[in-house]
Amino acid sequence: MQIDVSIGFFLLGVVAVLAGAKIEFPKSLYQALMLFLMIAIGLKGGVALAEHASWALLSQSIYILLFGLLLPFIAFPILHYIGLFERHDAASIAAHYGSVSVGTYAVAVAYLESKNIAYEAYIPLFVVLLEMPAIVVGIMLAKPSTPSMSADGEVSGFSQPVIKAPNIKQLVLKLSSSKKLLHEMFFNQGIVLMVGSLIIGFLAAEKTYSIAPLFFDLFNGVLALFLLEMGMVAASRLSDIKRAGSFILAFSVAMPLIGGFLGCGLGMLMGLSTGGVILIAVLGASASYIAVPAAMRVVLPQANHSLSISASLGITFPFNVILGIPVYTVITLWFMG
Amino acid sequence: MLYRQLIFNLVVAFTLVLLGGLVAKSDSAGLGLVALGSGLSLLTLMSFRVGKRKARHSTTLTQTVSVGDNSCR
Repeated sequence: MQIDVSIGFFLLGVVAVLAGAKIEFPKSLYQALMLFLMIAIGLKGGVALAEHASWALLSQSIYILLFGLLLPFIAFPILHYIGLFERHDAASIAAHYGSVSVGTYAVAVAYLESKNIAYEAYIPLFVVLLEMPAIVVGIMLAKPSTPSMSADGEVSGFSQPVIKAPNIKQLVLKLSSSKKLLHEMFFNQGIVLMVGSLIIGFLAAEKTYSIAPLFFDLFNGVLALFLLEMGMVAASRLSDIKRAGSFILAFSVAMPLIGGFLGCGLGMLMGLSTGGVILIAVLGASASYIAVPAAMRVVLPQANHSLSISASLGITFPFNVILGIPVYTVITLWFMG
Repeated sequence: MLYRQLIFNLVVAFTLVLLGGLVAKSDSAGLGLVALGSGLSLLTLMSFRVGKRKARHSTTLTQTVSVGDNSCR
């Protein structure tokens, strides 16, 4: 029996925490691994973009942005009307599930490479594009009970609940008045590093290969270390999930499947290769645990952020890494023959 | 747990088992989905039963207390 190395390290992290083993993983090392993965993904995407830049990318990017806007609208009613979550909690969790996880994307890339499935290397561009729309939709969905914010983004108190459809004009005004939120949206570490390295890769093109031994050759080794830490973090979230109950477990498994199926359909609609379709399915299935939590803390301070992180990191991330990616691959192969 | 949550959880569990059964022919991850779906349905039914029993117990307790109050008067 052969297991995937990345999944092996992830499981090792889970088992270590469950067995009570004390593995000291420096926080700065985790940060460094995350930065490394973002830069490596961005560089790869930039080089591919330089080779395959075309107008078709523009229409594909619009599809991806619309996809990012759609996902929270699917998650929100499930959480609010079936799960009976408060509006702000449902909006916050929905925003997490509308955005993407770079870690899951990195695992999917390693999986495709191990299976020798070709994919469009410019997909990191879509990873960046999918980071933001969900945050905007999250704010829109939470609006009736969102505390009012001052010009510098500080929360000044709770507004009276207003039962009416969210006003786009008010939303734009609110977004533009909150510097802190805009900063989190456009200048969080994920966006800056991935867009930055994407541009560097695009401009440097073949010259990027001079740093390939560090960023491309060591990718799988760094990913294994990153997953060891993620396994430990996911296992440490298990007690929070137990407290949240079985509904959040069902939701955190159902939402990746819905996003994965929709992503698979979208990828085929965009005319991508098999590997490309699988990656879009993985992006649709993944939930953010870095960029969105930071933004939601600013814009929805009253939401239960621990619950969102526990669901995305404690259930959805392990689900996607262990079961989801192979399942989306099999489904895509069915549909694409 | 409410009935709508019970139905949602069971639909998800059933979908997982069904999808897992289909995927299992091509990849062993399908068996994982079947196990996850079965576990979820068991957990859901158990928590629903426990929740219902707790609710019934608290209703009986309330009735007992109110009857006790009336007898005192």
